Amino acid sequence: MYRSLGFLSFFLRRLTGVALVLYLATHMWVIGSAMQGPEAFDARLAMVQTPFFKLAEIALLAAVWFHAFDGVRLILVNWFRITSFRASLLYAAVVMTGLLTIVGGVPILLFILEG
Amino acid sequence: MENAIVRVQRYNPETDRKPHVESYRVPLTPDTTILDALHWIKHERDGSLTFRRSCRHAICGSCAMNVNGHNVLVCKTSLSRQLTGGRVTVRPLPYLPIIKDLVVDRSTFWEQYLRVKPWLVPPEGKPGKEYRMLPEEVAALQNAETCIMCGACYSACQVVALTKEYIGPHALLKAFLRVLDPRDAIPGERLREVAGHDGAYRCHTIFNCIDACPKGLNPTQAIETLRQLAQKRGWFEAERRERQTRLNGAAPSNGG
Amino acid sequence: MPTSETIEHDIVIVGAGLAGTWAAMVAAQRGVRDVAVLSKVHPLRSHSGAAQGGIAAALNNVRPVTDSGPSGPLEPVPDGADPPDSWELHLFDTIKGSDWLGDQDSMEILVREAADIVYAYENLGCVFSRLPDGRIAQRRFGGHSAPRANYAADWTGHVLLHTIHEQAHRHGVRFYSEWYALDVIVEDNVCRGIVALDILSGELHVLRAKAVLLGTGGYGRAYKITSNAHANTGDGVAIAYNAGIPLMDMEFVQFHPTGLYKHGILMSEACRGEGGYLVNKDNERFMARYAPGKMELGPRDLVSRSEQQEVNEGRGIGPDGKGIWLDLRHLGKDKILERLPQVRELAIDFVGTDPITDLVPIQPTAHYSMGGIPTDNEGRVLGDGVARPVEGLYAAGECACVSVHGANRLGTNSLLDASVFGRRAGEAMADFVLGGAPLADMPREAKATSTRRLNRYLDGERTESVEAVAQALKTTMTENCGVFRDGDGLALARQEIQRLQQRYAAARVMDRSKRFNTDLLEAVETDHLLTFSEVIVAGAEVRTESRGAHFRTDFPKRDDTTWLRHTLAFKDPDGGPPRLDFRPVRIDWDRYPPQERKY
Repeated sequence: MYRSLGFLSFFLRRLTGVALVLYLATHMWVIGSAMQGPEAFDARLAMVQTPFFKLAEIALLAAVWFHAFDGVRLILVNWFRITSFRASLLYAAVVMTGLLTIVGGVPILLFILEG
Repeated sequence: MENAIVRVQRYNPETDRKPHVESYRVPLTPDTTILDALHWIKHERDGSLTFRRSCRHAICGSCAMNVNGHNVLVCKTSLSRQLTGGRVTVRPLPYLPIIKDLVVDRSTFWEQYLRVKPWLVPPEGKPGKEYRMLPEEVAALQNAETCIMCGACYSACQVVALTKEYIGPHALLKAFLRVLDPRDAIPGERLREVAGHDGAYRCHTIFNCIDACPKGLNPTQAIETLRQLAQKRGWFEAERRERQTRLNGAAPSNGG
Repeated sequence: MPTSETIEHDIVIVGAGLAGTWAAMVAAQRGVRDVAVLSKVHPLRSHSGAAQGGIAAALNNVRPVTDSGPSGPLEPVPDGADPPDSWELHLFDTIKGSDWLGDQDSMEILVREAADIVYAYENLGCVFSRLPDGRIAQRRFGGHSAPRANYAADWTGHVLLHTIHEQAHRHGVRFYSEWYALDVIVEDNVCRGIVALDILSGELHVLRAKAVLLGTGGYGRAYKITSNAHANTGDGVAIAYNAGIPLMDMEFVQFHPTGLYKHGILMSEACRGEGGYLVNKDNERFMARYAPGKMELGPRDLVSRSEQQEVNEGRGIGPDGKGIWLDLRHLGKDKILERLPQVRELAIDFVGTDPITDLVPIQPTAHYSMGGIPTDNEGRVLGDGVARPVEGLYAAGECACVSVHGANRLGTNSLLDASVFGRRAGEAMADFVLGGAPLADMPREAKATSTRRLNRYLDGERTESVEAVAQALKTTMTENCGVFRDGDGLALARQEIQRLQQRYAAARVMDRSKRFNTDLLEAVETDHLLTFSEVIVAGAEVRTESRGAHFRTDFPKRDDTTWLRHTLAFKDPDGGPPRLDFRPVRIDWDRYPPQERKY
């Protein structure tokens, strides 16, 4: 395996992409239950209101942000022909991901702790 | 004299079942290159150590190898600067079949090189003298013109690792050279080839080719340029035809 | 790759540098269908690609600004202006550079075809540097009286090699990459083909051909400090000599004035062409004392000797005082980055100094072999060294001696020589083959003889390190047969080579496997080094004069009455020293009679 920063970003982008697909499937599994009436929907929703799923939501948040920022990074690098900024923009994407994950994650954490 | 431990991956398919690493204690001076170290091992310790080398100044492209996980030309790589804890690890270029020790089989690399028709197809009608090309047109080609075909980028590419059908960064860079050359008569055909299934769109923009290139070239950028030109092929072909009316005789105007 | 015992082609070319590839490309273009090129390294690894500064041709694209001196600014020649340069001037510079040892009819062909070959390269895709109006850019070079070095930054050889290699593929030339020619088979003055080793498989193959061309390059690896690649072991020169072909003017080995200190790696002559200075340890531009008219732009032999003189008189630099400073700082960052980018990187990578801000330590480095296999103007190898061609055997490029460089080659004339005479040889071979040349019989024992050559490393008591022998040879060649030579030193070198040949008889090959055996290759290459080094020394010893690159401190004057002639060395079949013979130089006495050579 040829290890490099570029490959790490590529790998994480794939990983977060797969995570998003899994989330989407779960999401549809929950939402879809509304077709079977309000009780069924409430029951499904309760199943994903556990602390484990809340923590997973924080991870999901991080995944979404990273996937988005890294994708935007590639668009910027290609469009503006700035391959020399490829690493610094990756660091920027990671920092932004971290910040926004904290911003969104702290309320969820508090919710779990209070819950 | 100071020493360095050089760990070298060895493999002779005639006798070994799989590759293994051997360590050698090599004398170290500030000037010693990795290639010097390999020569020392070959001449003083084990003559069967096999590697390619020729010019020993980074222009022939023979000696691309993987040192501490990175693809480099060993002839211009300082041994002392690669040492961590007094050791360095030298392996053959990854993702390519090993012929023996540090010598790899670059057949697919050369097949892809030929696939993009690396030669210029000159326009009809010779000028009798040189075709007129502007300095800025030449400057735009410099990124590709100095490629020494060492294979460092090719063997660092994750897409190549997955499929040898991919044209590869080296050959796409060559295609870029020909497409961007105002003298080439078949840029449209070239763009069709590189925009195909195995071409520029298979690049995942991992940038390993840039990291690995010992000549500081930028295949990723070239690949992106090919993608953009492939989107507007008709326009580009018309531009080229227009430009070629000014290849002969009188000086071309700017912007051609 | 074929597995059959014998391989047949119309044309087999050994060596894939500019000469070999031009020959192949042109022959294929002319309609020879089956052209094969063998190369012991991948064709694009050939050492032609290491040439940096330019290829000479009087294109008249630029001229010096009037009255601006030997290194003043250049300007484009306006349309309609009188052409300042001509092939006649180029010819005279080349003759003067050769110290009148070159054959002037051949030299005239070289310079008259120069413009055409440069335009051919350009038309085939070579990316030359350009003037603002789109014409090919030109720069000054040592020993040339006009700026006629056509260049692509400082990687000219690289782009020429890639261009011509690509075009050879376009015309369907077949390449055998990493095949090593062990013997060329000549019988009854007819070339039958070659025996070659497929390095990958370790198998020997007989290759029969109607025409064979040797384009194997130079032999700088006989020296310790050299700009040449590891591959430049003069294999073609040695195998031709082994086959009974004489070698011509082997004593003329060019030392390039600017090799990187201790490494020998080439710092292009373009450094001086663009205006660089050579400075000794007292910060003095010493060339003012040796070539006041040309300063740093003197021919290579003169500049190398001047440097060596400075070193010998204690004005060298570096820990051992054997270096000289190359000063490019006044050229400025922009010019260095635009015109000498490779040179800058080499200095940074190998001696750790940036020419933009620092002085670069350099020293003379063995660079080019003026001598080699004697040929006529169509590349036909002369079996007697004078007039009788060996049927079907050709040579071109650095391994050949036409002779267009005489006693000293001018910079940028080597790419020109390889291209022009490679092309001419290709045309001659095409005519020969298409004219109905037969496939000559191959002697039955050819393969067995070559096999014995390789197998001898496997029998008996073998204790001698090949590398130790090679290093001892390089040391004695550098010390005793280098920039300055004298009778005593040359006698020492001769004796040392004889001793080394005896030691080599017990040479040991550590790698016993068949597959990709580079240990075995190095042993054969060292054999070749020993073979032709003996000829270099023999020629240098007998030539009791100083001419061009051959400088005898005990005979410091040129001697036209005795030595205005080529040296020919024939191999003694019984293993004795080479048999020497001589032939006159072809001189146009009316136009270019020998003169005193002063710069």
